Amino acid sequence: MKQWILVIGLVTLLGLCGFAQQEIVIKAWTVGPDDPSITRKLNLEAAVERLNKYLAVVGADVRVKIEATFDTTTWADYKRNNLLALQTGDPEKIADIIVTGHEDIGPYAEAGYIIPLDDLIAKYPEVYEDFFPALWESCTYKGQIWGIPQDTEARGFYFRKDLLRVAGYSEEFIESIPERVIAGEFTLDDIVDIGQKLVEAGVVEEGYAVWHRPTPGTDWFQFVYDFGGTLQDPETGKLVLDKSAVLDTLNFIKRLVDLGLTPGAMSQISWPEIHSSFSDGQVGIFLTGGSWNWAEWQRDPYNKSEDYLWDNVGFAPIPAAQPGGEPVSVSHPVVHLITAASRHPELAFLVVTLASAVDLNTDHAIGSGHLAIRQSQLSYEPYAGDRHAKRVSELCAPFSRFSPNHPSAPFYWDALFRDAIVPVEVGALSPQAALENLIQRLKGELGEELVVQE
Amino acid sequence: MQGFLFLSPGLLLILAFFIIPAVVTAVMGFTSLDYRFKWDFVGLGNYYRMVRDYLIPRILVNTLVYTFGTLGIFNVTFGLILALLTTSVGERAGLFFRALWLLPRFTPPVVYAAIWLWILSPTKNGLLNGLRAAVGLSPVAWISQHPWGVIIITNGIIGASMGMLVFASAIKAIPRDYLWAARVDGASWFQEVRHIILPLIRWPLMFITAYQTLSLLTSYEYILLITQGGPFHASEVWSLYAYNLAFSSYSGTYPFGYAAALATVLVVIGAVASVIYWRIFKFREMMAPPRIETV
Repeated sequence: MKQWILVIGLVTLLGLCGFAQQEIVIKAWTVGPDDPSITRKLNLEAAVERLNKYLAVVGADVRVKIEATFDTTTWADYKRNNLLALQTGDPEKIADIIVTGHEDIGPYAEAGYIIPLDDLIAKYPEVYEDFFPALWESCTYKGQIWGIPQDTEARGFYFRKDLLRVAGYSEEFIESIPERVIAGEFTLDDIVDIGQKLVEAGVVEEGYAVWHRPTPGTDWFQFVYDFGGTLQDPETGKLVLDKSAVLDTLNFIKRLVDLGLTPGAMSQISWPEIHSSFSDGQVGIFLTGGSWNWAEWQRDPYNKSEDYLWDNVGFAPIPAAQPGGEPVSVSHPVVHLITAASRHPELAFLVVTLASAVDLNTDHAIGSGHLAIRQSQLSYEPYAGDRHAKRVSELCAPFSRFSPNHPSAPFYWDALFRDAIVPVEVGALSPQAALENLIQRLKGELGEELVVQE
Repeated sequence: MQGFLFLSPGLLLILAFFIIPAVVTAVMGFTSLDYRFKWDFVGLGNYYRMVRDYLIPRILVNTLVYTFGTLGIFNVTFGLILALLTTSVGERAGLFFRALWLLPRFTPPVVYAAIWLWILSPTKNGLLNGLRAAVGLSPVAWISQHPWGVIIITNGIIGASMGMLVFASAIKAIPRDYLWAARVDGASWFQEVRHIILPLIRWPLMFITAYQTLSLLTSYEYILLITQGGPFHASEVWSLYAYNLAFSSYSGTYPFGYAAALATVLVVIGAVASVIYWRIFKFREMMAPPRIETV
């Protein structure tokens, strides 16, 4: 009888021990949509693995399990699915951590879907003081920080060194373009001049000198900044339409088309055709490039070697509009957000903190063509040894700008392209008429949230 | 009662997939629902916005041109021509050509759109511009210069096959002795078509006209994939405009309320068009039991 009591007692004790080790599930939604960005998911998983190791070492009776998804469809689908889940308010359906573009901070914060992180950030100064200060600007909305930068990239223009050589430019000049851009000696006018020379010398066909992306994007804000415009009122947070800067942008686009450098139907050329035409050397300048293009052109179907790209393709931030001005490079940081529905926000935040480790984030940056978020990554060998990442960081980091954190910012950049740049380019509207058109469209959507500045 | 029981599966489907969504959309159209998902009622605010929306006239014209252009040129006329030709060339050849015309309908829309994007590319790399270059002509920006033509042709090539199938079946159901008798009397092919075939396929013709009008009014997927409604809203139709507002990646605030109001207008237009077609085409007669017993 005594033996039986002992057995039952031991079994119960074992059972209790088993139950005593609590398992907390942290859910995360991550997105590529490009495959190489799978490290956004893998890094969170690695962070949890590290966390569990620490917990085991100190004998804590709790373990963390991560359930992370990785979306490879499109940003639009990913964001729509997130939004539909977020509006339920149900912690069962909502992830604790969301990886998304920083532009979602405005709407998500307004809707109460995410929490401000200032207090949590203050707990880990050894990690967060190492982040590039400029990146916090992209995570700030109404004076509070709502996101942790996950990665960033740099935008600028690419030029074909080989075509410039054929057009008669000296090697010395070609190699000095990025430095000239930074010094404010090389302006948007020089892009026009090079384009004209390429066409006149017969190096490229008419309409093949300067190409740009065929779609809307934060890229277009670069030109508004470049022409001295502002996009957001720092006091009220309202979006600003700076009439003269937008008009200058539209006049610049018209000039490119009128001079036969850019085709009027640029917006109807598909992305694959743009990438193959530029990477094959049929197009002289790709005006709205990004650091990730470098990785793209090395993959199928473009298949250019990195050596080929270094020999034939150059990169620099968007040159200043006026001599002596500063160049511009708009970044679109991807961020980690902690949801208001999370039952374990502090723990979720700790996972994000661990996932932001120098080694993990560098794996992501190198593997997916993104840039560092932490200063110590610049001296971390795997990152410092990557020639492209290092060069782009050097060229663009000092001039990084962001699109405004406002719920309607994506509508703004969409309308800037579709309702102003495209009609000017196809010749449907004059720059002045397109400007009026844009004001009307933005006013219709934004109402009082738009300030029109003369 | 028994009749209702038999109809109930169909009625339930209509209730679940048309009536309820239509009512929810209509109710949503009176709210300022957006990314915050708050059902704040704003009365006729969205409709007031619609009246002031400067894009609406352009989108309305696009919708009318697209719907009736595709319907008139392809879905009915071209479908009918295909049906007449493929029923006049012998059974095997007719079957082959009908199968050929069905290919675009079997092609996944994204692939179909990708093919068209290559055909219409404004650069020398596009198929049409490549052909022009071969004879020394400069490239044409097809989508910018002919936005209506592009959306009508790309949709019509798929749309024509439905009319072709229905009309071909109807033509084949015509008793052959009518046609033989006409031929004995010396009727030409055109006279056969004009005096025998067309009157006898009157109902399928009217049905396809009505059905395809309603279907075209709400279709936008090929336009979305090929032109995205551009350039500068030149090919944006009503349903695509509503879709872009509600779901496009860069709509920012996701104005579901306004988009729902736009969709409601489409539902009303569709309902009114149905009633008009019902009256004009006298569909009641088509649905009525035949006055004499037919073989």
